[in-house]
Amino acid sequence: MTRKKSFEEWADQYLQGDLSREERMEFEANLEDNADLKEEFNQHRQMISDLKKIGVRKLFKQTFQEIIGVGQHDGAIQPTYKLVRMYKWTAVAASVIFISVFTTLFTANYLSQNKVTSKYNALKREVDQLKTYQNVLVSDYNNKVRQAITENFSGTGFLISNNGYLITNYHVVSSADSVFVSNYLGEVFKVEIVIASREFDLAILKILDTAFHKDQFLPYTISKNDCSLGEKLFTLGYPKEDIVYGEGYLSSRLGFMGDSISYQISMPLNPGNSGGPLFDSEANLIGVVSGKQNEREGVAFAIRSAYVLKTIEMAEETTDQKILVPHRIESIRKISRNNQVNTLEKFVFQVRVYSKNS
Amino acid sequence: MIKRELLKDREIVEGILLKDKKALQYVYDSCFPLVLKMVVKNSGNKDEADDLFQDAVVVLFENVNTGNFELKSSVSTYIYSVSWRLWLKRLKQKGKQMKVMPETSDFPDVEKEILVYEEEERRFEKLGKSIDQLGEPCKSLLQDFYINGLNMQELADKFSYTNPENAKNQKYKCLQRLRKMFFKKE
Repeated sequence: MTRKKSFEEWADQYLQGDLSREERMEFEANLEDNADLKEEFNQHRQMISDLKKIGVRKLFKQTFQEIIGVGQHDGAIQPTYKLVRMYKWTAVAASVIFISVFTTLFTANYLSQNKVTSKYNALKREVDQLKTYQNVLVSDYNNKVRQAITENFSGTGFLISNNGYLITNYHVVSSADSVFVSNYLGEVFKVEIVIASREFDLAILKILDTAFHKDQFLPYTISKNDCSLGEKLFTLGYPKEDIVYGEGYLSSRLGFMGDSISYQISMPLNPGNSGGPLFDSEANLIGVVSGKQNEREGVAFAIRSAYVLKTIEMAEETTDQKILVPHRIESIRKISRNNQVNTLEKFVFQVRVYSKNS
Repeated sequence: MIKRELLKDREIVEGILLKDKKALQYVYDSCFPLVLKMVVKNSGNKDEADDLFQDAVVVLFENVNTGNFELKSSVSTYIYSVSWRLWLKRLKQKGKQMKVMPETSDFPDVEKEILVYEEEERRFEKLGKSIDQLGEPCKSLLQDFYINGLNMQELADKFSYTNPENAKNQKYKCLQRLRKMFFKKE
């Protein structure tokens, strides 16, 4: 079933990141070659962004009116009607970004066979407290009407350069409407998603805040080579509000069900560890913690660092941003583990994801 | 950076982002009376104050949402400043003057975000008009998808397409017409 795609379809899929790498490059080449086409694309992009913004603005005003009670005095039907509409509006964020992308992640990428979904557990932590709070908040509202609930997730991310770029797992941020990161001091920064690769389950984030100190040098290198079997490893992550240290070893060169993008590691991990850095004993970055096998405690997976480099390369290509600027490495190879960790924790962040799900 | 010392304001700002009921109620309770007073003293009524106040909160919400935004004053001062500047402009459009100026002049500079907001409101209005001119089914299709948040399956059901794929193709056609209409050279 081959059908010629319209320009609108190309542009829409490009903006949503639904094109394959080859298609993306083909589309970009077409835009470069044809100034009229590029102009049309810019128009399309502005229009879509405006349309979405109108929706967001309208929904925000509507929510606000509900809360402060403005405009509710003119009839009893109005509020219920608005709530139903509101539920539908919030579904847009979910349906556009969440459903299409998120479901394919689990079906197409990790798992080509049926019924294995339950075995693989992405280590994305749901912030239960917040969720409960949201639920309580929702039930205050109107218990007859179904209401969109704000889901809150958290994961881990870490700096990959000294100019404010972080990496985390794709599945941590895939449903995000807005993402914040917080460091070991509890300082909070807003970030934007620079690129999200479903294929490698990696996403690059950029700290937007100008107050963020960009002059600190990374104490680790991103390893180009494969790590050897039995190598002692450690990670830092945020399975709770405070940073947590975990250690283990590389147990297999292949990941979940023979996946060659990841390693299998033996390490006790918890939801919230997703996106955390995986270091060898000399504090070289060798992977990104990504998930674990449900039934077997201690069996976990990490994306190879080579794919971190690939994702960075992809991000630089598609966005014209310079991510891997030349920088000095402050070597912490030969110092004791607790001193290594003391240095490294400054570069590991909690990734806090706010999203609306229907 | 959202500083730790301003925890209260940080909570409000995060609450606004999440459209949290408590935070929005707090903003309304603590800021609205002042805005209402300012409007009423300057040839406005309660309804206009309501509209103005909502615009000001939207400005704050959208600025926080961009992530580049640093709140240089308290939330209430910020909202009051935006309201005041916006009201000044609206009076001017009607050929009226501010009768009672605020007592303090120690306001954060909000001129830039107000200009952006007003520019967007103008553009959105034009886009809305273009959508109206599309006629059915494009008008409802685009509004339902982008503004009212229906998904493709719901659209297919509502407009009796055999499957979401057909609804999607129709959406692309509508988008193309809308783009041509909106960017039509005068």
